[in-house]
Amino acid sequence: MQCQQFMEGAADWMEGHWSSEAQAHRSACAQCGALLADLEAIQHAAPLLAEPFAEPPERVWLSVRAQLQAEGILRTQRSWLDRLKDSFTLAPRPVMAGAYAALFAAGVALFFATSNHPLAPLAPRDNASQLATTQTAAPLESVYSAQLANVELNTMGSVRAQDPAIADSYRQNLAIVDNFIAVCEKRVQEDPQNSVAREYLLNAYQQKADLLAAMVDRDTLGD
Amino acid sequence: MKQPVPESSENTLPLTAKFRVRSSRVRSRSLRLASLLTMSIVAAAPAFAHRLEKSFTVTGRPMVTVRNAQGKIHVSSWKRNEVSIVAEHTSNRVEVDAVQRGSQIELLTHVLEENVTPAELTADYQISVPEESELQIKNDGGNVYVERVYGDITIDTVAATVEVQEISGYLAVRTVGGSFLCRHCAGHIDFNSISGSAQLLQPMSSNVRAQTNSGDLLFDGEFMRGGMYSLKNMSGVIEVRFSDNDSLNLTATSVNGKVENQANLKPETHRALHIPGKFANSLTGTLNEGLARIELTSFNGTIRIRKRE
Repeated sequence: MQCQQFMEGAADWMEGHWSSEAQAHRSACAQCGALLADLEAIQHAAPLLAEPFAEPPERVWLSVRAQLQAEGILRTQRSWLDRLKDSFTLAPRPVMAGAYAALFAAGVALFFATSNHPLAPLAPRDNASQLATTQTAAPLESVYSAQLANVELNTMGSVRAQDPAIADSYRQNLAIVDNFIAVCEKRVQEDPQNSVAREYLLNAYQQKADLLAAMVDRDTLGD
Repeated sequence: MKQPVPESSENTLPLTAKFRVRSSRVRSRSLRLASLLTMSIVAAAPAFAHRLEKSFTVTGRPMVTVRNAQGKIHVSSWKRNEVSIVAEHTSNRVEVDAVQRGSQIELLTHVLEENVTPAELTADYQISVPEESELQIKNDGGNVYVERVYGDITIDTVAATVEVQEISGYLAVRTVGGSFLCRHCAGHIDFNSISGSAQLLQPMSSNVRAQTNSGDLLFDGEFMRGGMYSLKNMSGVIEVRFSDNDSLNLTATSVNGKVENQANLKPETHRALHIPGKFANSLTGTLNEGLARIELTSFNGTIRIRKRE
């Protein structure tokens, strides 16, 4: 048996269907023997990869959190609304636009975190906190909605697009997003367990925040 | 009494003088004709009163940024280590800046006065860059066209349409309402819009993410083994075209719309059943080995999984 023939039948050998020729070639050819040994090692290791990783103990999360706080990366939690308010009053207008989007994204991340989403490794995972966060999920959505309405009011009053076609495009697309938000909110109210509808709703809030930020950003073009 | 017709002064001239007068009239007529012709040509062509041509020598992978309000931006690659731009605009109330900072070339159209009309805002760019260049383009209205550029590309528009061809690297396209057309694109493709549609034709990409609110999404090409493809909209049509040889693991969900499927998908047995909601139309399954992961999600729209012809 030649090396090429041997490797063409590798799948069969791996499943234990050996011919006497193949056995002989494996013993005789060091290269093919080594290659097949590697493949067998991978085959044995593969099932282990599919096993879920063991959950690290709670103290690991606590020490990670403490380390992040010590390095100033993670600060003591204030409400995101407070942080949003501070940013809006202190930052200049173009920076504000970015802050709207960034803090809104943080808010969305917080929402996912409190919803026991996998993106939240630092969140405590006891049942009590899960219950509490489920209860706060709906009000958070209405808080986003109200906050965005406020941002929109300020933004629309200040935007002065030089090209009416571009201004129209912004207005039309803002109306599309608003309509989308209304549809999603209705669906979430009808079917609170509908994870896709909730995901779409949060996505729509993010789109609106991004759009308002872009409108303010574009307003600075040419200044 | 009939008055005699006075003789033309030309008739009284000697022959050589007559010739000079006639040839002068012919020249004058020709000049008038030529100037009329020139005026008509000028009127037919776009009247770009201002033209800026610049070239910058670069090394390595240059980054070219363009910020423009309205107009056509055309970027293509060449083999030279040089970035060349030709920018044209009509108004003297806008200005094009082209500056080099190390390996970064910045192109900016900016207004010089208030109350500039939309027509005056228009500036067109023709840009040639080295193949490995990175691009960051912002253009509110008009058109952006990029071909054969293999570095990372970011394009951000409001209403401008975006067309790219034969690119690779990381491509991120954001539009508010502008549509996106991508031919023979490789690398990572990320499209995000509110009402813009996207067409991905013959892509060679293993990582595609397209999201729009009310636009249509079309993917017509090979799904690469090990690839990830996510297409998502609120309304409109999501259509993917597959061939029998494709190796897919597909999930399609429309909360309120339809899912039309021509693929002979095998239902999955090893994955947890995903229940998106009581109204959703959803299907999950694999074709062949299921090596490419495809997620199609719509809220009110129709999802079509069609066989490629």
